[in-house]
Amino acid sequence: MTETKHNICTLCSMGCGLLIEVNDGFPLALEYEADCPVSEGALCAKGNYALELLNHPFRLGEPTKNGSVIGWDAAIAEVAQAPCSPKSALIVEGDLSDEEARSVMEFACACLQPENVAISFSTNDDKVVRALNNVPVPRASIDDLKSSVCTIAVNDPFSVGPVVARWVMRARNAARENTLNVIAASEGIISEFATVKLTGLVRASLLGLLKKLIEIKGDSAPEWARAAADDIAGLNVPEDEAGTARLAQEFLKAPSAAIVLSTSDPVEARLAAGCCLVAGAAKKLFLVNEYGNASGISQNAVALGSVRGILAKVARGEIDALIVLGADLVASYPKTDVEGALRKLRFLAAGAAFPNKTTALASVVLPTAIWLEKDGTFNGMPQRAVAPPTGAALPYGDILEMIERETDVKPAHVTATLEGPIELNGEFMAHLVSEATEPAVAPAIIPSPTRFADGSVTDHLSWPQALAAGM
Amino acid sequence: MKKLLIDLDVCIGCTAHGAACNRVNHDTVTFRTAEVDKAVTLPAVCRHCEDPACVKACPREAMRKEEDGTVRRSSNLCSGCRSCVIACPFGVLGDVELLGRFNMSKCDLCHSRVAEGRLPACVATCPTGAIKFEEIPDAVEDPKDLLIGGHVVARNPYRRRSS
Ligand code: SF4
Ligand code: SF4
Ligand code: SF4
Ligand code: SF4
Repeated sequence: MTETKHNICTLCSMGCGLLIEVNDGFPLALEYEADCPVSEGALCAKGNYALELLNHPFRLGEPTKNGSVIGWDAAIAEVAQAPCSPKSALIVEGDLSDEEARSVMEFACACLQPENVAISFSTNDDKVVRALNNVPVPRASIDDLKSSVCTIAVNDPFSVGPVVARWVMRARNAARENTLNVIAASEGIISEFATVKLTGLVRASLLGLLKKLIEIKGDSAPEWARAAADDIAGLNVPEDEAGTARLAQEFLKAPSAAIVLSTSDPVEARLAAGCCLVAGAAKKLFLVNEYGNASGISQNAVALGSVRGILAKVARGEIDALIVLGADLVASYPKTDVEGALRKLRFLAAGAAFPNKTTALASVVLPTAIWLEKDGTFNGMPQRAVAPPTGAALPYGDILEMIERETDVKPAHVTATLEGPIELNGEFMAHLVSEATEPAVAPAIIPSPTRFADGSVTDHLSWPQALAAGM
Repeated sequence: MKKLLIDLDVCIGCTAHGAACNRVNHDTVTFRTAEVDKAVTLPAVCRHCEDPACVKACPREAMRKEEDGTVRRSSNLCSGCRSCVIACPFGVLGDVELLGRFNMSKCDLCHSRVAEGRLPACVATCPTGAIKFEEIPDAVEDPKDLLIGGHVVARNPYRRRSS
């Protein structure tokens, strides 16, 4: 019998819908989901090859210890020695389902210290989402993007969410006067279409734009911005003065405009938000990082730690046992000596679908299931397994549950308090451009209405809900 | 007649169309990405020529111009001689070295998908909507459009540079 199953590509944060034709448990063909609110049926080159990853000959199929196959029981017994110590940590990749995200949070509260647990969104790190949590910048919806007269893409959105290019390009082509502008370290796939492009250090370009906007707005700039103006007066601005001035003019005069931000840098996020706030209403921020599961996790989350924070602790020897599920830390942070840090660990277990540079360093390697092999919800949309996991691979959630059972701890629920909004004043601006990497927003749980499979409810709006609510 | 319309002003050169085509055509890409004058990326696909060189070149009549205008190739008849690959003036039939008998796919405008009421795979997947499958008259009326074969229309290849 042939049936069509719905799944979500989790290779990047867009979360494009896929339809898979399955015949007697065998996935036959991939079809495009034209009704998917995120992608309208489009898939990038990666998404098109999704089915190739099932039973791929390179997939990890069995749990191993130092290269020899051990069963799951033995593997979990090994891994379960790690938790329940203040010197243990867990990092899980952001392609996990909503239910698995919940498992991670419960695991964090029950077995570990929450700050020693992180969900890695690879390029879209949770700290960016959190850095904007309490910043009152208006957010752009997809419809806002489509109708944006002046769009500023900060970094190439194509690299984070290829399908976001669909809306950015549509906005640019909707009318002759519409512009697409790019602020990025170097030329990317989108820059070719840019009216103004500012290349070089992105923080500096954004700071230059912010300064220019404050300068042009003069007395009508918000008070905090005027206070900030002195604060940032002495800081470096980009060389391209003319480009910056033109971009500031375009941005201000546009009746509707959007900054499309894809970044792992909270400072860039704050600066972009600052630009929108200074320029005034109808200047909205679209955070590509928030699409896909990143939003579900960050906004519901028990305040977890950050990947960089945990890696720093590992490097300092404050963490000696680490479980990594899905994320390839060594490859994700090429400019940091992650390998050196991981070698200091007493114990490293790494789970992944494919062997990678992190599993190469781990003593215990766990095979994990990919999105096409999982049943659950991804950002509020159904994710249905189209094939059994390759070999003995298991979803992250199952692995965490097994560890919980082995360590005999009860999943706990934790509450935290929401701190007040960040003051956007001069000091804040100074802080923005400092090298601070820790999120400035205090850990928080934002109460919310998404229903999980276990009947629990949280406040994050799923994609379909958000669209229905006209957000 | 429905034609592939490629809006070069929107195409970002992401090559997703090639991945989709590769997937439906089992491993040989028939729809690739070329560059014209280093100015525009041109999704390079069979034009389904009105007077196809590949059809003339094929010694086995494996390449045929169908009544609906599409140029299709029969795997059963193809001997893998690569004459069509060399003859095609647009180089869309692929790499002479790589191709042999039975493994040379060719764009058939997703004949079977369209028959089932689906869009051609390249059209469905294109993130920017640069490829459309539309009813376009044989004499292209819009001056922005350029008929580049029997079944392919390119839109506005040089506007991008002037803005
Ligand atoms: S844009 Fe992202 S989510 Fe969509 S198909 Fe490509 S990798 Fe998958
Ligand atoms: S998929 Fe669309 S945007 Fe991407 S290269 Fe092909 S035609 Fe261009
Ligand atoms: S473009 Fe090439 S392959 Fe297509 S019909 Fe013309 S000659 Fe034949
Ligand atoms: S219509 Fe089908 S066969 Fe032709 S290029 Fe597009 S995907 Fe390939």
